[in-house]
Amino acid sequence: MSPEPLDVYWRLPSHGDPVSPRDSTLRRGDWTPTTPASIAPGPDDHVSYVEHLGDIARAAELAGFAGALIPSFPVTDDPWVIASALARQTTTFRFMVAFQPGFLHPAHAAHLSASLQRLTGGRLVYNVITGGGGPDQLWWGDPVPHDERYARTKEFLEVLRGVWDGGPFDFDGRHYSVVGGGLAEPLRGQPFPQIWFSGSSDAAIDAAGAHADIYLSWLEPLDALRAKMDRVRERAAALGRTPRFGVRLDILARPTHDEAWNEARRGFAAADPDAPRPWARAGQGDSVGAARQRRLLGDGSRPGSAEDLLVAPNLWAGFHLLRPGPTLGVVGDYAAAAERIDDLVALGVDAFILAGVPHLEEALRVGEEVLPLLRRPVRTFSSPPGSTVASTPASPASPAASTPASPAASSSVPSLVSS
Amino acid sequence: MPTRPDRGAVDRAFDVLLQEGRAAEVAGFDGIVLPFDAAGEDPLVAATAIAAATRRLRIVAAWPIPGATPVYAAKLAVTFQRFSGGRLGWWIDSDGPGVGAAYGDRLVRPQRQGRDAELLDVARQVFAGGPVDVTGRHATVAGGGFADPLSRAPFPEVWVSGTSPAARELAAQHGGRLVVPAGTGVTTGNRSDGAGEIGAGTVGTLAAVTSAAVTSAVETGGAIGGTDPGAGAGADAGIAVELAVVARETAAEAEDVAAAHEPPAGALVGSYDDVADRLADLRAAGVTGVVLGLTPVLEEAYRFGHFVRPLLGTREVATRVA
Repeated sequence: MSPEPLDVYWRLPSHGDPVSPRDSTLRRGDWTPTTPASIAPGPDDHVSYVEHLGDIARAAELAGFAGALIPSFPVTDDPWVIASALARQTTTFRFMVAFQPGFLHPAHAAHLSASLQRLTGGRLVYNVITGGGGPDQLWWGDPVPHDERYARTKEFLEVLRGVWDGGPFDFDGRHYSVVGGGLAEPLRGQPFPQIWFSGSSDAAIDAAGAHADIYLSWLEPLDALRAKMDRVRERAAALGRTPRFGVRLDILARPTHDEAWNEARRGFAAADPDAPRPWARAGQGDSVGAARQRRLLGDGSRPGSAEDLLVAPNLWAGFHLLRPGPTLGVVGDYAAAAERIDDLVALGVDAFILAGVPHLEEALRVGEEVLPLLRRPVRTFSSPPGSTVASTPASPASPAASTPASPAASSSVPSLVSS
Repeated sequence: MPTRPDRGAVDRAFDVLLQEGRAAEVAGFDGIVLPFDAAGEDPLVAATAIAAATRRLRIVAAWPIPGATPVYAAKLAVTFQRFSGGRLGWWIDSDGPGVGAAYGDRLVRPQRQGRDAELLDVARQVFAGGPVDVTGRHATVAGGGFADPLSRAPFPEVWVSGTSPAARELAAQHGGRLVVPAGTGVTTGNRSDGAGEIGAGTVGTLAAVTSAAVTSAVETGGAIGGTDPGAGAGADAGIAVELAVVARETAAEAEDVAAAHEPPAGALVGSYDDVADRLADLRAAGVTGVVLGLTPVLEEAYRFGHFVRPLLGTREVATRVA
């Protein structure tokens, strides 16, 4: 029996994007002051950022990705709205919407999701996040503490599933209550979105064990990742489930080893040593995943060279210097990049969220140069997966023609933590 | 505009909604209203998809987002604003039954109205930028508020449907527009003095409203609502009337159609000239917008665009499809 193909997603940068790994200035979008080099800065040239996101989504679709993760943080645009806006500009592209259960009522989330399934022909995927805590959690208006948030996530997913196929559904929990719930026709009966579950703590693993289709982790050194996966397997087995594993990682791949390292070195040299570290904000929270990434940076002293951040062959802990986000990623030639993914597959990972900056051009590069080198095939879609609305043809692209009219740009640079 | 279209295959609902939204724009309407319907498509999803398929159509979608924190509701809205060029309005059915316990809402009026007022106030603060620190009955936020560039987007227009004191107060506090059904007793202009009663159950009485009673609610622009994205509390956008319209070349034809289809109470039934006259009367009485119920949406939006809208001429009556 041939092995199941891999599920490989890309990432939509919902917070602007740099032009290259050499310069972390976000010249795509309006998160930094508009200059003549800006692309899609919104009101300043009447091309809103969603137009650029549409280019990335279509590129990822062309390059063979299943879809993309759409992150959600205080500074980002919102994933539900991005997905709704791009639904009819794409055909097979799946929208992995990151969201925190505490921010919506699960009965309404079901309504929203079912409607999005109907709009997209079943292309919605969930990235359930239970939050990093600290200032960001209060920014969102969510004062619930860490372990209690995971208890809430469990309730949320129970209600979401409970109402999904109709009612009457009643629920009386600590965080949510529903009387006579259940999606009405014609919303009920849509494919339930696959759940990619984020969280590294014991409480998260408990919640994931009950509900996750795919347990998602940032890239970590292989030993640490293996240990974590073993823990999840053990906890999930007690619940009678066998979770799949997904890893979210950045790739800086070039035709040759030297070219790839040249990019990493230039990015390292250009990085501002005084810039806020990517975990400065998350570090104030209670995210266990963020703490695990932080430890990769050792004592926080500035390394002397890019090579100092190499933690294993091709595994480089300097990605936070190139763009906001986690530290560890893959640097290497195309074959080496593919081999590092193969290593993860050998560990039991069969789902991936890959990324690289700039997300548009790198979607094409990674899709065309790296994915074909993987030992396991990548799942491809000629039609939307899991759809029960096969009679709904995908509409051709309908270019959004917006005429943004917001006030002129101001110039503060946002602090940014990204998935 | 119903989010549960009354035509087409059930799994083609979005194709119908997108077509209707485009038709409303092409036919010259300023915007559309997308209320919440448990058996309809989600207003936010529909609004965003329609916005992506149109250029200037304003979209007034149901608010509050059931069970959402005010920060998250604001986040959903701000991205819509950024992507659409600021074309969002929030449709607040203040006097309506609410989404109910099936959507986790156990509050009834007037407690629900009190909560909505608090959430809307927090959402406005979040739009204005930080730091937002709130410890309310229904929301807790610390160090909140959008940073640049999200903080540059305009707050959505506020449309409050209702006639109760709480509805009026909410509209007034947010510079919003109060939407009243045709045939309900509501005043234009100075809302507290009881003058300028609109309607007493029939369309005919709409014409009886005199502009003398109108003092402050008339806008000068041709378009209704949100023309000043910076408008905040205190900038009163006036009163709009929601009414179904059946317009035909002759009044007799219109009455035949109405007899066959039984439009809702307060419907405006008449010839193109009659309908234009009544809308102009509303305008003269200080009504700053009308939300028209047109069925079926596409054909009737085109009909209105061809035959009624030109008659409004310089009367500057702006229109939306309900």
